[in-house]
Amino acid sequence: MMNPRANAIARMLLLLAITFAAVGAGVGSTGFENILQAANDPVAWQIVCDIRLPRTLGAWVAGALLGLAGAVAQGLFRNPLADPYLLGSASGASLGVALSLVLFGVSPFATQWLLRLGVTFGAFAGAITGVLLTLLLAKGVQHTLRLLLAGVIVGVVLGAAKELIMLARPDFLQSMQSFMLGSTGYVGWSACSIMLGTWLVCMAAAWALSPALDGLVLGEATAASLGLPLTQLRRALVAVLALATGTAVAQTGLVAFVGLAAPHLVRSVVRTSHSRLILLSSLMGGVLLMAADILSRWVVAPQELPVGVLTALLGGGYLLWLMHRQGVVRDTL
Amino acid sequence: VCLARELKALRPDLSWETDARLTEMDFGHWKGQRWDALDPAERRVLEKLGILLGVNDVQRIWRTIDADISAAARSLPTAAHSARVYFEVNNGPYAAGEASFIGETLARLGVHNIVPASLGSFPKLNPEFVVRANPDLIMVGDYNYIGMEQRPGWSGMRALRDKRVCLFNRDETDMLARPGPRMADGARLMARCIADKLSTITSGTP
Repeated sequence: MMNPRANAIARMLLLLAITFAAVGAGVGSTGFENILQAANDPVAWQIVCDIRLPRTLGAWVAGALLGLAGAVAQGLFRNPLADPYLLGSASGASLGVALSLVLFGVSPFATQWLLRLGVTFGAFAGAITGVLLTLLLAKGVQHTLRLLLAGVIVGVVLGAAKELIMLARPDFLQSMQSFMLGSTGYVGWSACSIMLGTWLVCMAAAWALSPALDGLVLGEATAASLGLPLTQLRRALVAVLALATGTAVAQTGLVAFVGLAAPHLVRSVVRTSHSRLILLSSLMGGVLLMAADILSRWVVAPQELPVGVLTALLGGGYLLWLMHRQGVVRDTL
Repeated sequence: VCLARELKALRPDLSWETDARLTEMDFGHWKGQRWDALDPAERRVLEKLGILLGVNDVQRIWRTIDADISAAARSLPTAAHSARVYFEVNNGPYAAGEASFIGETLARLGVHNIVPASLGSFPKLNPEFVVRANPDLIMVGDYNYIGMEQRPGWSGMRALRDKRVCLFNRDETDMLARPGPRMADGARLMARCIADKLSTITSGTP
């Protein structure tokens, strides 16, 4: 039976997404415009259809993938700090993107289908390598501190490897740097479709695997005693986490804090099972990145802020505020 | 303070910095060492640097460069002066605005830069700004050009549709991207390309 509160939040997030989509279609290099007027101007209409709509929808799907990855990571590793960045998967994905781009000799902003699929596969391979290295280094998921430390180390090492590749190709360095700051400016319909397809697959898989996450909340021994095949389920969940992170990173670069903040925001308003938490975190991530994308092109129009920088500022600020508030509450008790 | 001490130990003849915080630091009495804040994005930076370093004939050298740029501008047909140009520095996309030395050179050549000075020297633009501006000509390094036609919404732009794109190889980009002694060579390179690519406009072909 659907939790009424979770149901209401899901509706509200969907409504917000639709509202932001409408706003996103109207915000451009000249600030906010009435899209109804654009229908009379072929160039304006082309801008709405070919640039604003795919980037707005793309921001939503990329955020949804990161929110989903964050919820899966936090459930799988039983750690509220786990997110694609802290587990090495985002760094691995960015290394995979860099390697793919050097191998194919293409720009990170290329929009051809095959290239985007190739880069996405590279990012997926990199993300799964990053998570596996972290797990190997941490010797499992039992020790939270070790897991986080291993994730940070793997992230730094893979990030450095990516930097080395970029330094070896100076012609490629600037565009790669721009891309890795987080960019939705060149998300076209091809990138959008790839992300949407992946989101559907990941959502279905995560939904099916969510009983394992609910079981893990009770502890590993209890989960095993419930008859859950933990090893296989964990492998499948790591694959979902890597696929969601890799696909998002391959299309939009590194977008920080969405994967970490989205599940926290959901949990701050509703306590629910993982099947709903994953869906709600995904919807929340989509709304967060969509809002950040609109802000990034609105605040300094016609210039643009890298969306990853904006999410880091806002998401990081939110988490700092949350920590401060929890500290204040603890002190008063 | 540590940085100031280390810089002082190096005993430079001239300190050129672009960071205002450095000039605000107390460097004590540095006899014979001059500090100056220069903007590398400015075209006349070369002249200023020559004066500061006490280079002989700096004014003559600068006048020669300046005259060569003027000659490059005169080589362009008058009709090319109405051309609207987009100079892409990086596919972020970062553009060379009117306030940059590249923008100044374009202005000297008499063409119109689509990126106004109010946006700064090298602004990161919303890609749709370029689509809306619909320039007559695009100038870009060959690596950054890869995939430009496939960027969402860009294929319909006049410059891309009519193949009016000046592509610069790495050496040429290197020359264009520095306000050094080869500025006049850069201006000639741009003028040649503008004349070549815009001949279709000036001859009346769309």
